[in-house]
Amino acid sequence: MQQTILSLENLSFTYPGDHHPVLSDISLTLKEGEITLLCGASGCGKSTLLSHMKKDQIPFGTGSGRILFEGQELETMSDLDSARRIGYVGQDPDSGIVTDRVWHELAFGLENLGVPTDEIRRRIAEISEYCGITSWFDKDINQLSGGQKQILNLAGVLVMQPRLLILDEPTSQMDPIGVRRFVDLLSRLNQELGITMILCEQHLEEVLPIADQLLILEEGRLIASGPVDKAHELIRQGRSATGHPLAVEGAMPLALCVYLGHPFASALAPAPWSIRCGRSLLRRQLSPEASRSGEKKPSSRRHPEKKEKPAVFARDLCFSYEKNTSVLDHLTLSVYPGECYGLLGGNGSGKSTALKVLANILPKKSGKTDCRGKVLYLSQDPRDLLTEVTVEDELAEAFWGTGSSPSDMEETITSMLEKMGLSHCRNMNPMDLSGGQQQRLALGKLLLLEPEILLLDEPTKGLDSGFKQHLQEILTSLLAEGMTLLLVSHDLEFAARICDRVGLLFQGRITSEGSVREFFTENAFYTTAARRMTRNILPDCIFPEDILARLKKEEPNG
Amino acid sequence: MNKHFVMHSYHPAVSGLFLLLILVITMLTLHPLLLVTSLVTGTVTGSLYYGRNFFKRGLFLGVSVGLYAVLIYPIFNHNGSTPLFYINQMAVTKEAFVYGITMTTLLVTVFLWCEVGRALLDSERLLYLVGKLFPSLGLMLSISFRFLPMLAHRLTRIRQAQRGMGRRREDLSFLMRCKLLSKEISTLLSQTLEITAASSISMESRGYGVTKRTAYTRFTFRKSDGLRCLILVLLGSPVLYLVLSGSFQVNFFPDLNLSDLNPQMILGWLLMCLLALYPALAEWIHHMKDKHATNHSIS
Repeated sequence: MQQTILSLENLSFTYPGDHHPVLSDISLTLKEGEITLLCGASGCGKSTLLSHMKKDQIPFGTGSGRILFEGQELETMSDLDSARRIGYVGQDPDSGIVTDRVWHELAFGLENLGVPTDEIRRRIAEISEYCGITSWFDKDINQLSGGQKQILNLAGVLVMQPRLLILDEPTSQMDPIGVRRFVDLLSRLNQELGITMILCEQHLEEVLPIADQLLILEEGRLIASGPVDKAHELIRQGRSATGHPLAVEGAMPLALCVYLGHPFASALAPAPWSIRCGRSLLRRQLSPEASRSGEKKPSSRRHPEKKEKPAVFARDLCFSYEKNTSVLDHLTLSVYPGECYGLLGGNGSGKSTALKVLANILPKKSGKTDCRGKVLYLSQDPRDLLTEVTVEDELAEAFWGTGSSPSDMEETITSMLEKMGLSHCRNMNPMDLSGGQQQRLALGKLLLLEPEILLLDEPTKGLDSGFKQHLQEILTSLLAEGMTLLLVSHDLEFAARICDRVGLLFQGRITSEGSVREFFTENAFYTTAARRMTRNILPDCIFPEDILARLKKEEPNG
Repeated sequence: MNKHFVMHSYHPAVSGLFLLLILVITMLTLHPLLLVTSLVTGTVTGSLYYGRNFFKRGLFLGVSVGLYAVLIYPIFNHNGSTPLFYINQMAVTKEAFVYGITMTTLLVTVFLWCEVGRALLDSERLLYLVGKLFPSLGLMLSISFRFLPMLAHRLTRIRQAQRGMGRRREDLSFLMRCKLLSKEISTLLSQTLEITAASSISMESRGYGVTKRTAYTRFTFRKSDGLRCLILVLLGSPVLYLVLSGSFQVNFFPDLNLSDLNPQMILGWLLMCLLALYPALAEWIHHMKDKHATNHSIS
């Protein structure tokens, strides 16, 4: 029998001034050597629950129930023990780091515990080798990428050799490559060292496969918990408990969504979550003819009139921050009025730079740009735009310096709040909003200025699936009103849903371009999960709905 | 500047002691022999660390300060007994000129050595020395070294976001520009508060303040570092003694008065040369050893 590391018994918690408890009656146990995945929509109390697992982070408020760490009341643990035995890594890579050098950050925790210098030297060397930090060990923190910073945060905690690791959405601010690297490291830590972990995450596609236990939290209640192998059953259990589809379902791995969405003939014992499992599931379900019977689906989307003059046009655009390193290398791009164009690409491909040059924020080195209409740019971090103390004032601030504030400002703002789904937070401080709400507030602020062309820099960064859905609805309605959108993203699924055309930026220029369906069906690696799962099995599927629709169609024959 | 220098492989105390000696000696003397020596060796050492550009930078500073010291200073200082010419019936004297030139040289020399200091003591080494002298400052400085560049980076991002909203500085009046800046700074402040709150959580969760801290350093003071410090002291202290005891005394006013060269001064000068060239010599010896080692391995 595995040893229990941490257990919660009937934990409830209410923030001061709140009427509803954030957490109600939660009981769970974390077994030694297991990875527990906590999932739920934004604002369901995930972070509050995690912060109850470390003594110095239990928030202020009224709570009841018991928290036991290795059989001992968490509250009675000494500070030294708490620091040493429970590690915590938060969401924002930047704010977790304290010192200016990588080596110093690794040593920081041990310094605090008063560990002798020679021992510190040995332990940081060890951790640096294990986590693959050695090649940037001497660097200044400010030269690191977001992914490196988060690995450093993790290593800075690991060096204290904790028994339990608490991770609160550690990868939410990262690009896909960074996420994979981070999750691989977690999996190694667990497999090779048997470290117990609890994490909450949005990137379930990557994280679910390494987890052992799954907890589903909805509105402060633990509605389902059990082994990850039975994820599909847990979700069904959750559905019947709440009576509606769960908020987290949208973030579940594709194979699992498909499995849940269709009555398959063969029931699977462990829930399928990898693309590979999903493929074999489809193979078993479908007759071999199905793959051949695919006809090209006529695109229902708006097709740009190519004879039209582009709204955003760039030819041979070049840009570099330093001499001899070009970021944009003769970039040529046309975005037609009323279309949504997605510029995709990895880290450092120059996506954000391209957007800033087009928005005239950075000066181009050479080339031609032409934007027909008012261009506004939405920064990657919406907080960069927020200056006021209430949401309402924040929107009014948009008219600053324009000389003209509309006479019916009150009304304009009210309707914008409604449009962005922010009416209920009218008097809140923008800094207290969740990431998705801040994003919509910043977007609303820009929209008040009535742009004709909107440039969006990584609009889905840090958003959970519910917020993404909401953002998608807003952007779709903007497109319907005739707005031109150009967005850069590494979120392929989102781009596939919202864009009309996409282009892949690689080494400073666009290497392939096409309508969403063309682009994602032609690509084999750099494409949506649905396409990867159905490649050579079902033609022309780039969304989970496509797969489900095809399965339904095949049903009577099979 | 990212090259590895042999001085970096020594304990920071060696570099610290060297800089202390050279700066103190340079600042205490106005004797042309020592000043010019310090200037020349400073330039040599600086170019070693920064390359050719270093010379240009020194020259630029020299010319701009020199303009003031040589052209303007003598017009306002009329001490000195050798009039060169008169402006408004006031004498512009040779002594004032020489004094101006000497002061310029001193300023430029000190500047050059400070630049060399920047190369010898990067933030980590400086932090170590400061932390040794004032332990509580050490961590604070480390935190600020991390924080300040981050704030600068964030401010750039915030300004770009404002520009992306169509607020272009060049279209705004001066007053509006100031207002925009204050908005940008207020955004920066609220972000900073958020980060500091999260950082303090991170510090606390890693046991900050739980018990007495160790100050971990990556540097070890080896026997050879002790030897190096001893050499520096042996070279520097006689020069310092001579300077303080007045052997290198110079009087500018009313008459230019240099003490005659004597064996003591020549000895002092030689020691000064050796001291000032210490980093360059260390680099050269290291280089020769390397070369020897490579030749050896080839044959």
